[in-house]
Amino acid sequence: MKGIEIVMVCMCLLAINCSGDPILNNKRIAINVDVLDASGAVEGIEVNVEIFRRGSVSTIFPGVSSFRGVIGTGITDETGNVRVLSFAPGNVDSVAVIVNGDGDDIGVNSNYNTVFTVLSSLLSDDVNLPAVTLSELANFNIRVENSSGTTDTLSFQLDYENPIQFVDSDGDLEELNNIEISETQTIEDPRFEITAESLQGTTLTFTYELRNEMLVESNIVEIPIDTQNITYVFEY
Amino acid sequence: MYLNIRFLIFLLLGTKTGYTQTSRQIDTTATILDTKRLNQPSDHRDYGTYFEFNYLWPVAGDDYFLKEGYKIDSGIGVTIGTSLHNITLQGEVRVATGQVTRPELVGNALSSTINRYSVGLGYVFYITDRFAIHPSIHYGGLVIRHTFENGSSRNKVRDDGYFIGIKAQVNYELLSWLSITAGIQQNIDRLAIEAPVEEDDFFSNGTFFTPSVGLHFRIPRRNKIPSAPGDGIFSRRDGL
Repeated sequence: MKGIEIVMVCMCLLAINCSGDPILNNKRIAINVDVLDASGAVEGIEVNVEIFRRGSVSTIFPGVSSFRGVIGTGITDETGNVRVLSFAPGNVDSVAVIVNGDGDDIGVNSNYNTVFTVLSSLLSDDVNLPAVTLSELANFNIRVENSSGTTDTLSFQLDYENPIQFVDSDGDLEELNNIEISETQTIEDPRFEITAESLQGTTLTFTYELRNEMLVESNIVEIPIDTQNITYVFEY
Repeated sequence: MYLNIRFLIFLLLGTKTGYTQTSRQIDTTATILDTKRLNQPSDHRDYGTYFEFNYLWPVAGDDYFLKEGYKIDSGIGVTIGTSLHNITLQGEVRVATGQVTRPELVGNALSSTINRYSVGLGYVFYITDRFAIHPSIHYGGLVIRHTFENGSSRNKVRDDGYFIGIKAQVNYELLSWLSITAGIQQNIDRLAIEAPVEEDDFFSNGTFFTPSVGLHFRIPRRNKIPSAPGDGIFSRRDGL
């Protein structure tokens, strides 16, 4: 019995020892990034280096503590460049360089979206990231109205660009940037409204089907988001 | 009782071996009950152990991350030392805190604590009976602990290094066991921080200038005194 206890204690100590610190002692890194918009360099944009580590779920071996926090921060100069001097991430699950926000506060500059560059590893202590292009934000409002009084069932789906974008360390957009909203509209609910945020210069896709017992009508409507506020009314 | 006896022994020994700083007359015979002497400038200051408690105002030098990115608060220092004749050997701990004011330069910590542990070697110059100048050199470790917000808890990260310093301190003796002190210390810091080449010097090398004021407590020596027969008066004749 005593032997088992000793083994348990040893495993605990080993787990603690192997967990490593989320932030390294005696080390700093620099991350360089240029921030642009459609017209060129953008000054005064906040850039943060945030790390995240999932904690241990085991209550027997609580060797890994969770951590989430900003370890470096900076603001772009007039050329759109920022050199973020940061503490160095240690044993973490992910490192993200977040342009125009951090994990808690998205869109510090409310004119622009937020871009996460997710780094799988840091190959040097002086990292140059691909330039990040910010897009201007847009608000859209979609109203669905049953003005004909039909008892047909409306099913529709909205696809639009997520204002929070994720790019990899090569600057390529991750696949999860699109947002999809699906809704089935019935006669009890003749009016429906959706308000959300997307990016200017993108397209909102509205796909719908009208059915009673069989398909009555279906279509795909593409709505360009070219101004800051867009309203679209779908009547049936 | 001990103090009186020790005081008498010092007077006798000091006179015998020529340690006294001034040429003032010292009675070779004194009564144990001569308590008035305790509040006079001490004549046994040439050796003994002491404590110091100092209040510090550290100021970091230019082009050093602790200067450019922090507001350094005041700190405290505790010294324990021993002196033999005029030479002092001391161990010292100094702690100061700083708030991060420019995280874009130093990393996004909330605050940091600057800890110094050093040994020092000094020499005491007695200018008058009560007034002394005490220069010393110091070498020791430097540990800077940074605190991070992590949800509801906080994490700490550390930077390590060493420093060498020179200190000049003046002491004014109020009582035989108590002095007030004022000093300045200049440190050269070397930190083991690995940083990008461009910022290596910024994070690794710097200076610190620290004015201080404090209190200096001398610990009474507890000598073993041979029992003196007779009238309670010690003198050269007693062979002390």
